Amino acid sequence: MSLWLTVLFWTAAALLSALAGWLVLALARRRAAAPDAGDPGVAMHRRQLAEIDDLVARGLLSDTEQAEVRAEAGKRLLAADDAARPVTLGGGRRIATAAAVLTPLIAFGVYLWIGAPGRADAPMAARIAAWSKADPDTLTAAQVAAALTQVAKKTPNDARLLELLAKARMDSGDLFGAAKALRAAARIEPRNPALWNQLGVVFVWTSGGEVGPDARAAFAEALRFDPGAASPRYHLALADIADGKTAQGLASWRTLLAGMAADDPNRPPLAAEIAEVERTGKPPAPQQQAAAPAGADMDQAIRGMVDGLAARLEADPNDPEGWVRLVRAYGVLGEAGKRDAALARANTLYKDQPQVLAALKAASEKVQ
Amino acid sequence: MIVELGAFALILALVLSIAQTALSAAGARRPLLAGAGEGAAYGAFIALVVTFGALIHAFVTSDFSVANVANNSHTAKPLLYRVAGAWGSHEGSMVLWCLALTGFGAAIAWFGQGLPRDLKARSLAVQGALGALFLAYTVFASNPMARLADPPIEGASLNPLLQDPALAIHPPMLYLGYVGFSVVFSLAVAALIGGRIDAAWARWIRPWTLAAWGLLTIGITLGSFWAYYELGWGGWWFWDPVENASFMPWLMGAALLHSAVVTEKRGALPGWTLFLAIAAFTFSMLGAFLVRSGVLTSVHAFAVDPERGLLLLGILGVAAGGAFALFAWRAPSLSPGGGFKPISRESAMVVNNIVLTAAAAAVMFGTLFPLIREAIDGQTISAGPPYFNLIFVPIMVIGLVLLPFGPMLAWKRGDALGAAQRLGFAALLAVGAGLLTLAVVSPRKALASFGVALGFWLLAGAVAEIGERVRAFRVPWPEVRRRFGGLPRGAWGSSLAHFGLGLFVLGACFETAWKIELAEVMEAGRSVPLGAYELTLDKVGVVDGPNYLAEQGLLTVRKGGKVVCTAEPERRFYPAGGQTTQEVAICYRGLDQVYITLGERRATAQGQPAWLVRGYFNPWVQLIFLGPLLMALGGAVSLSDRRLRLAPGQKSKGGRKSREAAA
Repeated sequence: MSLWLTVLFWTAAALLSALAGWLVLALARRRAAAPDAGDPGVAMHRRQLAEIDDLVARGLLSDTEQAEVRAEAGKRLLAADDAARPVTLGGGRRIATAAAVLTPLIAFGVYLWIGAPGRADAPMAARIAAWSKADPDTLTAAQVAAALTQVAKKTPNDARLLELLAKARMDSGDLFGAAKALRAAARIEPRNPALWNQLGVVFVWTSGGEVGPDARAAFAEALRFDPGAASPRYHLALADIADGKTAQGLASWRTLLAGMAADDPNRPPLAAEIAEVERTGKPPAPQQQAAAPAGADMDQAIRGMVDGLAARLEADPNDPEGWVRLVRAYGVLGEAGKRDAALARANTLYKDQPQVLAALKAASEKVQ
Repeated sequence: MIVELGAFALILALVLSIAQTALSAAGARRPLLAGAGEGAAYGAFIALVVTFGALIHAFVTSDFSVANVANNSHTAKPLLYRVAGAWGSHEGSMVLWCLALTGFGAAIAWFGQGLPRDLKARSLAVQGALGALFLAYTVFASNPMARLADPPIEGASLNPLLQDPALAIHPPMLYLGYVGFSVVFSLAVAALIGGRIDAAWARWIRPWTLAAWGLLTIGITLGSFWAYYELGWGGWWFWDPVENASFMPWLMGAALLHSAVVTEKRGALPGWTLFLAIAAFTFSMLGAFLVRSGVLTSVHAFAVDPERGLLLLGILGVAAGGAFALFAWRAPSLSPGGGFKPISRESAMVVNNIVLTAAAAAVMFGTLFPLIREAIDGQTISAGPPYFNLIFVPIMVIGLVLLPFGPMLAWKRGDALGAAQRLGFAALLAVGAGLLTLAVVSPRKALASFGVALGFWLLAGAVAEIGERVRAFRVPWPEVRRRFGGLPRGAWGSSLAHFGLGLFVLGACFETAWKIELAEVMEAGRSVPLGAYELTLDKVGVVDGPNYLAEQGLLTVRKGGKVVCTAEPERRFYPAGGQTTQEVAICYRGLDQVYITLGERRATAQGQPAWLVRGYFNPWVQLIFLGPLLMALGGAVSLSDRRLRLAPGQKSKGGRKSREAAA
């Protein structure tokens, strides 16, 4: 907490304490000065007697009733008058003063014991503002998602932003939020096949690898605008196999495989899956999230970014933060070889900067 | 900074409450210290207002460094529910409870000008002690301002069932009612210490009893209405232990209202009135314990560890045990007050008290016995509606049948025959309505028809109550008009409350006996009959809510081929907690309602998507909620009676005059 906030806090607490102490003393003085108004119990019984007259005047009591009621109320009045024995003592000023002073002091003592003096508030808006200014690489996916959510609220019609938000949310495990962002993005760009594909992927993840009706609808939409897209074709074929239309599904997969480039990273896993289905005749076991070929499009985008970073560092190696990021990115992508190469390169570059070496080490270990 | 200020203010409120207790106790004889005690009472209330404000601020700004906020809020939650989240959690609700407790303490200081000095000081001492007990618990065992070292990025959100407008105002109302009885409790204990319990004392507790009872009535009604439309089970009262926990103090409060009238008018039954005054708040504390102890599994129950439950049980034991011990010690020395004959207004009130207390005992037994049994031999049994229908309902029926006689009887010695004659018309109307129901409404149900008769008996009895007071048909018309204009508000209040009770009985019997239920898997385009109505599921769409995703059904309700309304029930999924809730759609048709919920998605035999639609035709159900609101209105009208307001009003006027004169 900054200094002036600390001062403000103690001032406010002291003012509140002073108000309480003042109330105690002010009312003590006022009550001590007030004249004794007699016993209100007696007055109350007198009023009950007066009310009887009132009721009679309004015609709500008969004569016989009123005599009886009056006699009884009178008796009660006498009894109350006998019982009223106001004993009033003076003094107590010192006790009141002591209470007014000690009460806040004790409260302060207890607060220092159990409270967290000096700790600032942490409203969400302020934390998000801090994250927005920070280097994204130092943030967790959830923090990025929270910051992007805030930005998306201000610019709700930016499909690219929503896509990034979806990605961050997916990384932080918020599949529902990712789907929500993608649906919003698809509303802005309903003819963007990539969005529909990603939405389908999120649905598949949500249902634990099963291609349900919502996912199928999304993939179908993706194919409508990009009939050649790999991921939707892959998933719709998977859905066919799950439905028991194994031959049809396998045929689609084989066509897909045949159309893939030789160095396509999705080639080997797809070939393996085809082999497995051919062998067992059953749909393959649901994919692990990280290895899902479903993420192909998005993975490619990330790979593109990482490759860009690598190229930049190649051209201008004097960027310790860049190297740390690169090492971490390779780790996340599961490319141990490239990661170790980059790590070795950076370690030699910064062998005389222990801080950077430590950061590199941390980045390389984070995902192992 | 604001959070920490709230944390400090909470502790300050605790210390001030302790000071209030000590100063006020010493102030019974010393006006100066009594005044200091009053100052401490105001101070404690103001400090808690600061705490409560700080807590709400933390909820509104989603400050997840506060553990309570992190556990019960979420950034995507709409503002109203972020605010309401401040009392939707265990810790927050304790702050609200303490706020009400100190608020009523300040109210005694403010409105208690007409009380004898010593009674006022002692009441403030007892009220301060109650505040200190609950505040100590809040500060040390369930601090709402506790911070987290590492605040999470997102909160765990509030149970979506509680994200409802009715639930946003139901707890404050309920708590004001619960805690309102604390004033009556404090006045009772103070009077026991001072040893003066007379008609004047009974009048002093009356406004507090009326206010607490009225607020509790509204709170329970809102809660019942919430359960009715939010849970989507089609029912409005489930004899859930937590519902019972709020119902028991209500029954005791209702008994107290009547018994206090006897003590006020005749000085009779002082011991009984005292007992009820202590019991009403004891049941309130029991409710607070039951909801938080973790011994109950209920929609309402805060999941809280047994350890904190034990602490609350300890507070209950100290407060109630002390009060009842004092009562046992002092009660024998109370003067019995004015005598009365077996047939009299007083006797009718005694019957009322016996019935209400027996009913409360039956509810308590049904609520606690399963818990005790489980604690003893581990057997889980439940006392559900069958138990309550068998025990509670017959007890209440006796009371309801006798109710209209009470206001017809004179104080001290009544004329049973005369009262019966004056109620002849009401009896005729009731029997006629019952027979008509039996003959016309199908399927034919004798017991329910009797219930309808009972409802009309109460309605006509409430009207007859006014008729009796203005001597209708017995004195000339101008005289009746004069009396009518002069009727005190208290009389109107009691008639209104009894009329409301009649409406409630009518609604409850009719709805329970003749509601029609339907559960059907429907695909879009399908129609099914529901009584005289026909429901058509037109389509089901998706709604993207602020913090939920919903399937929304669009149904058309037709009667005789004509569209009477469209309904849009929803099935919402709240991802933050992974819960699903139903949003009921209600078509209001006069006193009846058509009530529709949309259930889970299924598939028809052809593989078409289909939904489980539940429909209820709830005849006269509005009366169930209207009746109690009328009862609460009766309480408010009674409270506005100038005889209750007189004391402080006169005083302050007099004081102002004397001050002006001095100037």
